Amino acid sequence: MDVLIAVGVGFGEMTTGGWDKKMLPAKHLIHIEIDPEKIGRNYPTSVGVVGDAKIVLNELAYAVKRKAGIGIAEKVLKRPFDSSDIDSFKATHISVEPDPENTGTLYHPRDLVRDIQKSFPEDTAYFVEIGTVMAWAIRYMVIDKPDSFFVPLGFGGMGYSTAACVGGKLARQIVRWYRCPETAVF
Amino acid sequence: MTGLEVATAADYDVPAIWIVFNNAMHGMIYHGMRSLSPPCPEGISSRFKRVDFAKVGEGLGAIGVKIEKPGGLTPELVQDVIKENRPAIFDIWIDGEILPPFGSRIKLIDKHFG
Repeated sequence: MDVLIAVGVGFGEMTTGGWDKKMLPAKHLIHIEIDPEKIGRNYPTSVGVVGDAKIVLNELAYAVKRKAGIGIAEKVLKRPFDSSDIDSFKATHISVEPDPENTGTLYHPRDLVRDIQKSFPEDTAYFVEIGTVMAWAIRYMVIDKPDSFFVPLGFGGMGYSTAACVGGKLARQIVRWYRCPETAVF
Repeated sequence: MTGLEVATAADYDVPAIWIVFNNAMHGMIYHGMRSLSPPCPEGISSRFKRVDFAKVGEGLGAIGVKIEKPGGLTPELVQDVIKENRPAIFDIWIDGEILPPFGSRIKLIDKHFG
């Protein structure tokens, strides 16, 4: 890999296999991130861009149009996205089945993670605590919606999620109430 | 170590739901010590008697659901709890002896402290 463009990631210990050098591109790391403290913290960065992901990516698209000309830009930007690699990775991730050798009388944490995702509504927002539960959740949960997965990985503050989910739930209720005051339970 | 936020949620009628992966131990410490080579002697125990968090939750004003057996968490059960529209705690017993998927952490500890 020559160049890696990372958008909205912190390159934390848990998600990089302990800051594995395999994550490093051969030539350039371009890091787009809203928190300036995360840029260049864990991997040397060639270009750091501080900003909201949506705004920065839109600006990048405009810049391509300006530099390359509208014709080439349209061709490149409108090219259908080939998601087959991501899809096959997701499929193997989801297909984790209970370990037949686990005949214990207690829940295997991995199976519990799977049962949680099967049992709770699709729009559930998960706030995960620091501890072994975080390792299980990061490894086995399928998170593909924005604003649905929160782990305080910055300083690893224990106790954050136990409190944050109350604020999260309240925020959801308020948003729902604004959108549809008649039906919201408040 | 924390958890009184449940009482706050009950006080303000915020129906948040907590799931406790009840392993009766400080799992990061327990597995971290055992995974070192040579393993760190347990010394002051990082395990303790399993706390009944369902009852703790009830005491704090939430619904308490205790699940002791694998497969006990089902969509039907979750729906029943959600319908109550109250804060709730699922206290789910897990097998804490299973090594969590955090191999990189062990490598790092071994490198710097081993």
